[in-house]
Amino acid sequence: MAGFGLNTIAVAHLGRHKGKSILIILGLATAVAAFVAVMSLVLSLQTTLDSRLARYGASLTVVPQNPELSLQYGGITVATAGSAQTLLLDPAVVSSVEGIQSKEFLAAVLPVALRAVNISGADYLAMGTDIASSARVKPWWRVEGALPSRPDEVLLGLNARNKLRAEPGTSLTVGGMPFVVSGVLQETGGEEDNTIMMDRAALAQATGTGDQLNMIEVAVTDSGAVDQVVREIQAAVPGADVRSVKQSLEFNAQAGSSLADIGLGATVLIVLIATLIVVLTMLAAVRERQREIGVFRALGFRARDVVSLMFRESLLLSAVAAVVGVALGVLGAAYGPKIVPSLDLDLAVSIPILVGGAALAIVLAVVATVYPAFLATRLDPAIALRKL
Amino acid sequence: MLSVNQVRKEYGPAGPGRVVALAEVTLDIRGGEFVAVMGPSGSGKSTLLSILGAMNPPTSGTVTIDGIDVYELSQERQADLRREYIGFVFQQLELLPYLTAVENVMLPLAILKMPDKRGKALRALEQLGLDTKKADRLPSELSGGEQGRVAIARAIVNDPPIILADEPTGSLDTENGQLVLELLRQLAAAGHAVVMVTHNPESRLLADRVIEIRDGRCGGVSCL
Repeated sequence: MAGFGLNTIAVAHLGRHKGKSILIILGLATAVAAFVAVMSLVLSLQTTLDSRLARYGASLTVVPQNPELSLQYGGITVATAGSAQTLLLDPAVVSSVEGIQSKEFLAAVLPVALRAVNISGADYLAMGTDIASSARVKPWWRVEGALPSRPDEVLLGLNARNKLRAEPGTSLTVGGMPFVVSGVLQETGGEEDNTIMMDRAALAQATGTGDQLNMIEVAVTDSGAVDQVVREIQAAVPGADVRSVKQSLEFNAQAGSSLADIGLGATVLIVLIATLIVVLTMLAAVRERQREIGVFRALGFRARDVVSLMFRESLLLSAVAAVVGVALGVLGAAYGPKIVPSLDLDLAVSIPILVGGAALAIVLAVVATVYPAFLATRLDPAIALRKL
Repeated sequence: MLSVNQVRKEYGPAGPGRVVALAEVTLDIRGGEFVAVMGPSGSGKSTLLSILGAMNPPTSGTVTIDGIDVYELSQERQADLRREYIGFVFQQLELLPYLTAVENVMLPLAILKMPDKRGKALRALEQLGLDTKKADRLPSELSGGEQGRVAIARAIVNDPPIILADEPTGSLDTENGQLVLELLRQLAAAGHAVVMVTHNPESRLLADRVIEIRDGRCGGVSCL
């Protein structure tokens, strides 16, 4: 026990006053958890935006205006099977897009037909396109099996595969025509997951709806040229909407950012309340410990020794609060966004945020201890001799 | 050892409301002397003890310990002086309830860098007759007499030349009070200057000198 000193006293004191210690830890941990969760949420929003931009590339969609109905792909709504199909693009639009002035930035122009098809009594979204070209401009695609190489082969999105319970090699009948599943696209997080992809001409033949288009996907080689390409296509195809995937994602991210702003505001509030709780608890502790502090002083503790003891106690509590708060914050960041399923965030937690959270606990504890410690230095040591 | 020269202590605002707690008190206390300070409540006994203990600067006059003018020192140095020269025994004993007996005894050593603090504290407890098997018990697990021994052990653990005791028998029953008085008597016999504020009439019999304080003044013949 040669090491008996201020640390031993601090630990023993905190152990004896568990209720108060837990209250301070909870106050600090709540502030840390809020900070870590909200900062991670903000980072997750940014990471999700970045990863989706990377996933989608700098791409555009050229779509008819005012889609309204139920089955959707890329913002396009397709009528349910059997109902009238509207919102079509003239195939001549393709050559207008290919002919824009900045055509050197066009990596691919992919006409897409979207049709609702009924298979075994359930509606599915079928996409007719040039799948090989699509795969070239979507390098993130991972296919179990193979890409379709013949008009009677289809590629299934993961959700469509699960609904159909199909595997590569499974036969399907679409509009009375037989097709074989050549491959299944692994989850992309995009709308491909819900579709049955096939050759556009084969889809037109199977559904008997002709070769009219619902959208054109345009891959751009340089993300810096997206805005210019959008403007030129808009001018070339005045009856269509030209949507940048980037713009769409940024819009979604904006909604998330508003949420993050609210979260940041709440964090500031929580941090202030937590600080207040800790300051009040510490002040109450100083008042309760007046006599004890008087004893310390009478036994030869200098004022700075008493201050040092108080800061040691605060730092011990803040260390525990940092661990608890960071753990709760990470859990909050992981599970909080699930309350809003449409957010669909990729969890991002960074070391600087965790370190920042831990530092916040320490800074709050230190700040909250300054005034009570100052009061302790002003206590008259003779208080230990006063009668109760 | 301990000299008090013309010490006056006043409290409160200037004017008729000002209270004179001590008025021109002068006394000398030598090593090995057991002095009892007696007097009615509010007579200034505890004020005198706090002034002797380097915790309460007098309004005027001087207090010297081994020739050092206590109140000329900075507050930090006064704390050092308390630790090196003075051991306190408080009325309510003031053992910290969250520290064990031996840890309470080690308190004055807590801020010192020195080896074997526990050994030193155990020797102090042993000297005062506490079963060292009880050294790791909390104060609440000890009897009143054992708590008194721990409080005195804490006062002597760093071997200070002066022991100041503020009604140390006040919170104890007669038997344990007698025991504490006897222990203080032994400390004086061992060379410590012991000053004890007390109401206990038994003290008259054990003390080498009794200082009577009335209305802030030495009322007895033995003040000097």
